[in-house]
Amino acid sequence: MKNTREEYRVFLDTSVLLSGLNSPNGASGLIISLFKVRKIDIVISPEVIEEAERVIQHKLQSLKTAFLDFLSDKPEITKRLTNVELKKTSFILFSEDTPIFAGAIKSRADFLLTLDKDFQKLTKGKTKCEVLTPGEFLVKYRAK
Amino acid sequence: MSTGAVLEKIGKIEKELQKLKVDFLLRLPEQKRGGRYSDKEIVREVKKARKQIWNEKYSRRI
Repeated sequence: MKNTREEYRVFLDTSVLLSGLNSPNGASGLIISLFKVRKIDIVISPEVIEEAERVIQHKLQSLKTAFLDFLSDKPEITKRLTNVELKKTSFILFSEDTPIFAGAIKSRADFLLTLDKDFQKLTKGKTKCEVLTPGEFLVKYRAK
Repeated sequence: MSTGAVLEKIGKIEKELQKLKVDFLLRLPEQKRGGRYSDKEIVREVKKARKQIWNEKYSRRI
């Protein structure tokens, strides 16, 4: 994908966000660090925040502080999805992934990053943004 | 030097250190993972939460 802006605009799936908070030296963590030093733009949606909060509350409690710290760096957050946007996206993908995918489309990001291979398979080629794993994105970033 | 000036200086040093860390990590061929939870566990928990939220909120909206 040709990018005319200096920085990549990257939408994070909840899995990548939580993995990055869990392991700052892993690929997802490095992507969050790239955002912190303003080398890329990160976009998330209220639906991603809701999922992350739920997972942290129920299972990954030790990530709470890192999550709040990430939010304090002010990533771009899209507006909540409208019913029309949800319905429109459901024609492309109808599953529990629809709200997250709709958020990625709404964000107009260059990339959607996910660790979920099933989600990647279901969404690949269905939107203008490239659907990659964090590792695949870093290969692309290094080659930039 | 005032407290504000000291904090500002520390903030600048912190940012530079972060840049240094990112540049260093980008040069490494493979990233060291670590972390308390495995990616597999994270993906599993996210999928579970996604399904719950879908059933509670979105499946009825579409």
